[in-house]
Amino acid sequence: MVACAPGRAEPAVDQAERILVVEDDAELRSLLGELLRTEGFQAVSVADGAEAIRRATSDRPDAVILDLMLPDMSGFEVCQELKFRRDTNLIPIVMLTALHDARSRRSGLRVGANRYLTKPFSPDELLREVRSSLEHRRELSERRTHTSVELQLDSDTHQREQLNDLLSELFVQTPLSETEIGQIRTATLEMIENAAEWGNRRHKDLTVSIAYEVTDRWLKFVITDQGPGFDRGQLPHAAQAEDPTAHMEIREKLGLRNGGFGILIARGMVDHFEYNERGNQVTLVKYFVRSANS
Amino acid sequence: MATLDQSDVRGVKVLRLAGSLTRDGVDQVEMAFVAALRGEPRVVVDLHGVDLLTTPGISMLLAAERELKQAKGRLVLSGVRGMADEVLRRCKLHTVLSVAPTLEAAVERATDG
Repeated sequence: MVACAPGRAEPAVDQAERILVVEDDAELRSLLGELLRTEGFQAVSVADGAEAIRRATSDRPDAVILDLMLPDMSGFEVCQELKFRRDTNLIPIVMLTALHDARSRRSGLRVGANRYLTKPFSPDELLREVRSSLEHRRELSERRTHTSVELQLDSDTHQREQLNDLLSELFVQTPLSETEIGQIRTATLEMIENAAEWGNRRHKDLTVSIAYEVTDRWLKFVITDQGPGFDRGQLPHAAQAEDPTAHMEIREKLGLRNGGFGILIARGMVDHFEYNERGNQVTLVKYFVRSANS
Repeated sequence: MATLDQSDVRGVKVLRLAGSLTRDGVDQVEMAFVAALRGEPRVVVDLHGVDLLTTPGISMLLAAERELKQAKGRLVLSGVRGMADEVLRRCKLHTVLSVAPTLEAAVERATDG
């Protein structure tokens, strides 16, 4: 047993937060386990993805530290398994990546971790990410979140069909009607297409992040691109609610193809629609209360 | 995924679109859709099988409508329902595109005049 840091009170083992470490490198796995135990966590270590899913499902740890490159499957596949199970969905995942991983394991659409840490990292960096993800988990509990999924989509990919399938799996777990699901699906796809095409200009190295959260009362998407954003006061080529077709002449003069309806459509299909100041992040919210009354 | 099926009804080209007319869906059918319009003065686009319609799908329909208009032809939509109907209404595109309640009515309208 590794001694606690000076001055740190060792918590009772049954109160300590439980961390599942998934790392195939035996030396690093052992080091991570020791570090966590030193800091008062309970640590359980496994070496592959299948065992990680089994242990996470049976033990329900408070957090998972997950290596991206595993012998039997990628960390993203483990993420997808855990994030799409109701009983493991909220377990925060800190993913460990190497610098070369991002390119070698790109797959267009990924179910992501809550936090990322690039190797090599210091013990302090790891502990900061673990504590931060545990804090995030507590915040989710406070607002009675029961589903939280982070997706990443490459801007040049044609995997939105797969995205559509993933959304279907997520929406099944909500009380929304078929029409409301159609509305939020349409709004989400419009904004994701906007983020990839106008925000990231379909640049192959830029991704669209999609954060999905469901509580007892609402469903929320936060869609973020890595582009420079835009001035929402300067959109003469986009459809406006008061006259949705007036912009078509402007687009023709500017040599743009027909379109510009994305924001108008998305705004009309959700209960709350908001861009951030920079214009590279949009939040879409659909309340369940309305669906109960409708 | 989106699909395109073509037929002729009383001299009118009928193009049946189905699936999701999103960016990926449009990429799957747009070339065949554009090719099918070529040289056809009267076209009905049936959207009965379309479950999702986003901006790329609207763009494809508007471009087709404009092309036929310029060629003194006519494009009529039919089978507009569910989310496709809601999207077109929100964008007030029923005022720009000709929308008939049934395929039969769309064929009639396309041949009218």
